[in-house]
Amino acid sequence: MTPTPRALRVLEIVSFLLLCAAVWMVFFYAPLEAVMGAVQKVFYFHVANAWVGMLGFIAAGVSGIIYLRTHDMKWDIVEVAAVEISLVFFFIAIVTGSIWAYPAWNTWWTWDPRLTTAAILELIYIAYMLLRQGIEDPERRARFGAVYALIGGLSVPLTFMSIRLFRTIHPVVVGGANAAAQGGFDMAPKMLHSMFFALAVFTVIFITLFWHRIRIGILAQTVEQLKLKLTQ
Amino acid sequence: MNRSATRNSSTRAGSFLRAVGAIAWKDLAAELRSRELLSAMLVFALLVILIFNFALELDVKTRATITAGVLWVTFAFAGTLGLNRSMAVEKDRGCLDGLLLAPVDRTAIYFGKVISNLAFMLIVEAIVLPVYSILYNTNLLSLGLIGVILLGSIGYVAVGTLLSSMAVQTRTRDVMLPILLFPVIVPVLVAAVKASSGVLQGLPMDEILPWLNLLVVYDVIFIAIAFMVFDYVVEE
Amino acid sequence: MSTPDTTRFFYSAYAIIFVTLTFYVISLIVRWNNLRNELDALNELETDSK
Repeated sequence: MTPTPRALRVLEIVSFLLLCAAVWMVFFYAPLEAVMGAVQKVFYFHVANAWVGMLGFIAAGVSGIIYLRTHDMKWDIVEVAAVEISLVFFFIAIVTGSIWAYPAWNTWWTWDPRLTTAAILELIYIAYMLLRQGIEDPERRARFGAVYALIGGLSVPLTFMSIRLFRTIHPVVVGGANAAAQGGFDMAPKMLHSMFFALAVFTVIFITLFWHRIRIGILAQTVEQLKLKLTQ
Repeated sequence: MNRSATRNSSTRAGSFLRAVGAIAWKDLAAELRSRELLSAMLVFALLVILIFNFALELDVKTRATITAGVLWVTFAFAGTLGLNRSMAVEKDRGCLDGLLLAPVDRTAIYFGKVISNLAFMLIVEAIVLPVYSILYNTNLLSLGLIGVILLGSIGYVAVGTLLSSMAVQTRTRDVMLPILLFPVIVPVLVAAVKASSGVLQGLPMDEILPWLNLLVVYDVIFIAIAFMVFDYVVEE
Repeated sequence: MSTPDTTRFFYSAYAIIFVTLTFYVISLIVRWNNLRNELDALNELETDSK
């Protein structure tokens, strides 16, 4: 197995430094919001994690389609890596969203379209992992994984639309839930800077983790193939 | 050459439809004789409704808003039972392998199974509706409701048949199907419940239409996807 | 209207972010090392059996 490429090592260091910078921005640069207080600052990393989760989600769907067309196992490795990383980042997004919701709107969960869709997406990802665990043959595992990633991927936008339609026809008055949940509050320039910087930082972190996870997938495949060869 | 090409394409479509019909009929005929699957689904559905009676304390006022939800939860659970059994029987008796060896388009197998699964689900729903009406003294036998149930069941069975073909080939089999199916079927459940509820409450059509549209869009998208992807699920 | 003091939520949210990310990175490192060891062991087995 090739040692860690220099580019990846550089990315690791850059990711870490950028993360420190982003944390500094959130703690010291971004202004304190008047209505909600300190907890509003959770928003910056919450949005960044959700954004990165979306990147992973799209990567998973696309690799699934490419795998089905090419039957090239490396796309299966990419797909699993994307699903796993998206799982982690959406988890962070959901939990931070919930922690933000409580002091802001006095409820741990708001059933708003984005949060609910993210939760359903987590369930789809877990189902995906369970599906793969239940299949021994690597080729069938890859095929089924790709099919389910595709089906899950297509259902999620429809799920989002159905819940949003549900909410517009039956608006739930949960304090100021609607405005802030849509991200429609006015943002001072420093807030915008912090948000965009966080988005960029987490995108870099995503690339670093994604690359590492793909390397693990390749190594795991090598080990599995060697095991099969030796036990025959 | 042109003549035989057009004749080939029309006979291929013909043989495709014949294969679909044959596969659907095989399941329906077998079920007509044994009635195992239908009785299991039906008893289960009625038990679920019974449990809901105690779990939710449906007094007359709340019943109107909750009926749609109770019905669809019942259908979703009973449907899972049907999908699981239908595919498991196929695999256990080696029918699936036999079908795969036959010179038929793989997707004909998919559509045949969808039709038979849909038929079973519709039969159960057709019995549950009047029973619910009697038990709770409400009239559920409306054309609009039947239409919504049809659209929702189509979406449910389209995705369910595809996923049960996968689930049956895993180690955990029966348990796998609800885990795979339910998160993906949310748009159908949301739209079907809202549309059913709207019909039962007599809401104006333009409030129900968006939900019907959603159901149709879902059905079309997923039938198309299943059509393209089923081959990958059953290839050896 | 004074700004409410919601700092404890702020801190717990960020704590969870870092704990989760740390756990994930550690899991990646552990999995990598386990696989490396497994590969080395299998390679040794292969050369022994030749």
